[in-house]
Amino acid sequence: MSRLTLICALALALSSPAAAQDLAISAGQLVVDAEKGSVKGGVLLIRGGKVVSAGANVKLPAGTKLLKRPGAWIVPGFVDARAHLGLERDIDERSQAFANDIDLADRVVPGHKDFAKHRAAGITTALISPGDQSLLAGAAVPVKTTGALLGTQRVAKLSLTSSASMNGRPPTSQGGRLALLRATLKKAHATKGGGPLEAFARGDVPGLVSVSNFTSLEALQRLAPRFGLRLIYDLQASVSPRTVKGVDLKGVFLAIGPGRVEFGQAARQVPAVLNKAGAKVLFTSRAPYGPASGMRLRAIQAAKDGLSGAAALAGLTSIPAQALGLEGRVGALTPGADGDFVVFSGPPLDLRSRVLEVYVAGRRVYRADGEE
Amino acid sequence: MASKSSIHLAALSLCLVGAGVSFAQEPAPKKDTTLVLRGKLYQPAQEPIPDGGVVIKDGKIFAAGAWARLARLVPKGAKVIRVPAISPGLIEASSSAGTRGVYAEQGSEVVPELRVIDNVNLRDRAFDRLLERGVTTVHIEPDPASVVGSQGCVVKTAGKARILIEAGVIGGCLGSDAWTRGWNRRPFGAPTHMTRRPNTLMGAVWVFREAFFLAKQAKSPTPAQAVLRDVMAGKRGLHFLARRRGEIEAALRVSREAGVRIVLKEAQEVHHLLDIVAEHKASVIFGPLEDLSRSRRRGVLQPRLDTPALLALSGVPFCLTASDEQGQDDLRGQAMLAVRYGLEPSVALDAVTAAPAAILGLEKRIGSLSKGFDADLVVWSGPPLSATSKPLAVVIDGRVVSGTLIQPKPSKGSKPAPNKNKNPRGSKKPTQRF
Amino acid sequence: MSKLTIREVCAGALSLVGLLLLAAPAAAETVVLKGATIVFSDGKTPLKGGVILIEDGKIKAVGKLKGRNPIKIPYDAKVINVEGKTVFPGMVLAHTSQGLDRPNESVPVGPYLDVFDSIDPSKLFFESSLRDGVTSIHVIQGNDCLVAGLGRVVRPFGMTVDAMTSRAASAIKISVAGKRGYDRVRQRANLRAVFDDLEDYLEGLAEKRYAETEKEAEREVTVSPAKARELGKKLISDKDLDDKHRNLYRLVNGRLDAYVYVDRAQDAIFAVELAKAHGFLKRTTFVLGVETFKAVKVFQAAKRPVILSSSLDYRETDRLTGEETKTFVPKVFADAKVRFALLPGTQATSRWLWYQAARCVSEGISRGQALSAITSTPAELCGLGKRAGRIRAGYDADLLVLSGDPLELTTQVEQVLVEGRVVYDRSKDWRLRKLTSGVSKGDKKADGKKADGKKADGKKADGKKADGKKADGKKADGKKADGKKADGKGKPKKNEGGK
Repeated sequence: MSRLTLICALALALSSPAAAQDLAISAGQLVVDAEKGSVKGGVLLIRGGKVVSAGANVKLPAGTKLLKRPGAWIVPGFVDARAHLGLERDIDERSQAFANDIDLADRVVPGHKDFAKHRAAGITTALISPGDQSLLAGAAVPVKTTGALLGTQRVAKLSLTSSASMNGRPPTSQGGRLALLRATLKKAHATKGGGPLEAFARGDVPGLVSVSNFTSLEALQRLAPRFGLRLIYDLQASVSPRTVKGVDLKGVFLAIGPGRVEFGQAARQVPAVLNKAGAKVLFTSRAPYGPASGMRLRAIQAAKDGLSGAAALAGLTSIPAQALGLEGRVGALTPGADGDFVVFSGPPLDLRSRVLEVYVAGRRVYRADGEE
Repeated sequence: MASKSSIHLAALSLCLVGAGVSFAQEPAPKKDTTLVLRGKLYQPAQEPIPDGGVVIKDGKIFAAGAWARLARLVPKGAKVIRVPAISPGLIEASSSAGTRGVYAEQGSEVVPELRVIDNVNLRDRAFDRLLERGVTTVHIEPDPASVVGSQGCVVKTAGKARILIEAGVIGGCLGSDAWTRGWNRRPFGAPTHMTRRPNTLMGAVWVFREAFFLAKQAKSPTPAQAVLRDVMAGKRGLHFLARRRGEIEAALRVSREAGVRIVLKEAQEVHHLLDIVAEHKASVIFGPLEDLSRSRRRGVLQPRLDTPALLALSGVPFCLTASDEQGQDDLRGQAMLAVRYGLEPSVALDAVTAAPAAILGLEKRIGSLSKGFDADLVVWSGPPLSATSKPLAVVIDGRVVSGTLIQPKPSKGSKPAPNKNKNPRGSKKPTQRF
Repeated sequence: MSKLTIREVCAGALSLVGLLLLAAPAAAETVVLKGATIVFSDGKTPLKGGVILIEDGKIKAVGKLKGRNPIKIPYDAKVINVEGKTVFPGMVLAHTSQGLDRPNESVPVGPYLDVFDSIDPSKLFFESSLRDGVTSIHVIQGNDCLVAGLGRVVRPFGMTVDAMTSRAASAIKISVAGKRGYDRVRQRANLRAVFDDLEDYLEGLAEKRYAETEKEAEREVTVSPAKARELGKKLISDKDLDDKHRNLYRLVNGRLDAYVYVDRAQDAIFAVELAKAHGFLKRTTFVLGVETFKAVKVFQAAKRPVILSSSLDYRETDRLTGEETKTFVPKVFADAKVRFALLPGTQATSRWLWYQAARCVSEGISRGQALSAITSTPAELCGLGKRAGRIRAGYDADLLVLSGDPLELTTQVEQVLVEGRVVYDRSKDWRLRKLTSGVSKGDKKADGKKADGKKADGKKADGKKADGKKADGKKADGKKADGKKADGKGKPKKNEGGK
């Protein structure tokens, strides 16, 4: 409990003391939900840290001061579905294949410098995740980049890549890993309570699974309906149009790293290819192993190489929020959602646009140098 | 508002989007899936029917046989495509297709709970290669790196629903593969799970016996033991890789002890033991023939060129395999070699179609062109097992998945040109694909 | 391949002795092959009921007993009745390094080498070639070289290399692909150096020879050195040269053939230019890698036939889309009207030359082109243009008696005649009998019954033993069979390895 209080205290310290105050802000363009486009001259009204209304015709309560950001874009705060921020680099516990009792919240260092870097990149929510060194590496923890936890919400972090069995313990093969996972899930599915494994096996929490090829992805897809698994794949495979031919990716959440993973000639088209195959593509930063801004840059590049702008922006906001089970709370500025948003100097998918301001729960947590 | 706002974002994306990618999406299946082929019909273990044909409806064989009998079954208005020769799609009973680059499990000698399908990349080029050579169904077997191996799977080489059996028979191996295939074979140092343990035939046999004994005894069986119990109860098959005579004998012996009927795989030296194999009611997946110079094969195998013919004489159920390793002959090549060394062509065709289907337990679904079977067939430019013919088109589930049915030019002058005078509609669209 | 045991080698040698004995009554004999269907290598209509008259190892006449220009069978002729059989020219293998103790010599430039010193007549390769109907084999060093030694055309039988030889000093081997350890830039520089060195050497020699001649004639050398070199050139004879340069001199002088290995399309132009620059293009045969077909136009322009790589399919993957394209290489050359010879592959089926030809037919190449690619074209390329590869008057009587069409799967080689002598008879091929025990198609008519009977007997015996002694008895039985088998262990069609 003390840990939680600490983090909450930190979060409070970061924000200005004024509490349930209204915030109204207008911009040249307002993106409420990335998949629905933008509203010209839209206004966003936030009360008590939650969005009250957003759009073109927002009635402001009397006496509310409207902040004006003409020419700027307001977009929902970015959601990073895989990062290792706020940790002191020891992200993996390697001793067991199933580290079911590991909760990464125990490792988060309050006030770590990574949080500021994330905020500066326009990311307001991030999943702090362990690495790929165990089949189940424990519970990943979604946080606001102020350092506040999002309640008791957790995500199971799994890995089917070969690094999951590189620590001197079998199984050594992909088939072995899947067989072990299958047997373990079967047992866990019938268990009440328990750790992230059981919750994942029952379908209560989503699982972020690292996969290094589409074969293991397909194997898990075959398994998913039996247990009602909620899956996000962290894709570490090279992809060409041929690779995904015939793979049923409809509605599958696929996370794409900042670029370290797919450097093939066709790699730039990967998000578009996957999107066309029906997948819901989301972008991750993997910070601090990549720059926090890498997430947005990857989305811009994807949009340049065939992904629609809406899908690219959604891959930074609403899709990762859905994947992590946080839809309605983050990822879109719909009424009732957290007032997390970013003020960009121009279109968010324009390489020239800068992050001017970042707000979390209606409070400004970042301001670019030289801005008011 | 929505429409207005979406325009903005569309404009935004327009300025950002570069050249789009084109996608090879499979076309949606046509509603009318009737396909009628007429040509020389080669059925397994039968004399070819010179004027035969096949009627395909909704991906299944509706009728097949002599054209005289078939003509009245052809639906009205259906286009009849003339082809030189038709045979069922070939079935490869033992293969490692699609598992390229995936390591076998080194964690244990007994891994029957593992599934090969977890390692199979269904988009691997190996499937295209097999398809192009007329193979429509392939049994992917575990890498023989364990004494009791994982569960094989049966998949088609193309089409929509490709997995026929997700997790079927388990593999066994008593031969040297079980200890030489480990990717970290260390001659000295402390043993780890990477060090292969049994390195003699007797050692491997002991591991096998122990596994089945423990499975029988276990009060609460592990997943692996549950699978072995299935095997003992006859619910699941066991395919034993046994090449040399000693391995074959040992495999038959331990299978009898465990009360299991087995299928012998590769079995290059089976000609010594045909009586014993028949006595054990074992089947044989034989091949590849004359595959003797590879370094993988430890020890000298004693070859015989006419083993397929001897197998046919002995009455042991058998099929042929090419083990689709690189540089080796394809499955048809194996059948052709068998024919050259004395097997009847119709029996050789049987040994790569209906016989493997039966060994895989799919004899009611594939391997022959019979009513209700999957419409998996190959159109050849001449007799299927002739060196001068090649596959022109491959049909899986009633759809052409490789090549074209209607050739732009007949490959041989002697053959009547397809569609000429027979069907005036056909000649208008000579390159129509199905 | 070092696994070949002494026993196998001895067995091979012994069988060769057997074959020789078979061929013993030789010399000036008149032989007539009667009644066969004669299949010609150029694909023209087969002659049914044909007769071939052979005198002194040469074909004297081909025709019929009746009709126009009937052939009269001389009274003293040895008549071989081959009714119902097919007669086809002996196949020719245009390029191989099998039969050598090892395919490549590590000395990069060795024009003084000769495969004569490396050929091992007892190699099973020769025996199996004969069994498969190959009557001329061009043995030449492998492709891993800069300038290699001389090749030699041999018959696949005989106790000594001399006895096997049908054409010595057939060609010199040059490779423009990088020898192991070199890249192609170094290879090209080295090749240029070889010929530059030759030129320097010849100039020096010419000057020296001129001076010597003048001295002998007791004259003063009055001309300029350049003139002396020019005049001296005509005075050079082979015996003036050292070993290192003699064969290269014969090559650039147009008295020796060249086999130039072109690994990739990018080397094609260099290879042709090299041959052209040193004046041996007209006598050059290009040995191609599988990818070299992309430079087909270069060979078309050079008007030279080529020897294709043993793998007939070329596959290439598009790195962007991942899609694969496949090319059937002989078709490319057939379409470009470049004549080609085929080589056997490494698979169980493709290592038969006829199978390679059959594949060409299945891919739409004309039968004539396919058949000549394993007979007359390779014969021409290894310098047997007027001797082998055709059934025509004046040619060597290298003939195969087949059980059916040469491209048919079930066809077996029943007899092989070389220069009119029967040097192989399938019914006396003990090794084949060991491996097939008479179930094979070709033997079925002859002794299928007998084999069946034997089989039944064997079964009975086995059964008895099994009854009497159970497993132990069976084991012993097995051992015995093993022992017997050991003689036949040598795989007849073993790939002797190396390129």
